[in-house]
Amino acid sequence: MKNTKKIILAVLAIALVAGVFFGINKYFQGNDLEKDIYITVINDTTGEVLMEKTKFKTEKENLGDFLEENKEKLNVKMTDTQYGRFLDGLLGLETADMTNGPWWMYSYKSKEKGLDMKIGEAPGVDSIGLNEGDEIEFHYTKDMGM
Amino acid sequence: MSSKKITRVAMLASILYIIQFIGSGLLYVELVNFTILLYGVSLERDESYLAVAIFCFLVMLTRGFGLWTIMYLVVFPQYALIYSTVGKRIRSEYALSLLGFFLAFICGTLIDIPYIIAAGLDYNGLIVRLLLGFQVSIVNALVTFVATLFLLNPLKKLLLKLNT
Repeated sequence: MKNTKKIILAVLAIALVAGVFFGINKYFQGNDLEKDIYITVINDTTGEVLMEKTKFKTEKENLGDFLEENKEKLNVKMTDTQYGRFLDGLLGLETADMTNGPWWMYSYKSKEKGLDMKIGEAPGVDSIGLNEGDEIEFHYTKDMGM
Repeated sequence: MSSKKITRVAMLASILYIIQFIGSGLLYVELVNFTILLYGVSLERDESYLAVAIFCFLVMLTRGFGLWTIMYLVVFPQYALIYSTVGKRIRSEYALSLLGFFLAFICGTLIDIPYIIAAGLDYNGLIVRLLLGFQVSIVNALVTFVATLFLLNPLKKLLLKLNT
């Protein structure tokens, strides 16, 4: 009887947590419809703008999938970690020293979701959902936004 | 402190370290919070506090003196104290599971505080960071809740046997 009560309570807790977990997931999720997104790439170590607000068409739901889709075109290098994919290289610039940088950081603006994340605020590439008109600015920088 | 007690504290700290080490490979499943709860409600206050503090030093020594390892030392021994003072007075295992759920849930945010301050986030950035953190914390809280419900009593009996 006591165990049955515990099992019911555990199942209820799992349901509640699953609801919150997927609710948060949905908030950040993108859509799989065709959309235009805008990419800017800046090498902060030299000040060179490598790509300026270039329009890309994609049906990918998140930034990680978009980068994978454009692996050749953008010369993307990513590694899998327990937190999702990590961006190591873009347009030929690659992080050589993981401790001291420079690293690839990015800001993210989404009018549709009402989000404006500066460098250091944006989560991992797999957690950034893509929506119509989103703007992502990649910076090869030592500034972690902290 | 007797040598028997020192040995016991060292052993308990090592067990906690192994649990943390195994759990660090799994993003959403960690039993560190549950183990601290178990130590807090089962052992003498100084024993549980020391075991958890030594565990934090072990993490620091092996993973480096980062902000998060320092925050481990700030947060976890205090958790042991809370469980030892408040948790021991709670008779209901359901209420204890809820306390474990709550403390495990806020644990990630507490450890994240220096990063949040250093990042100087605006309101939107803060909400995003908290929400993304909650996504991980709530699963850890659930694991602590379920483990407390089902594992606390049998493991507590085992620990008490060790003490005799």
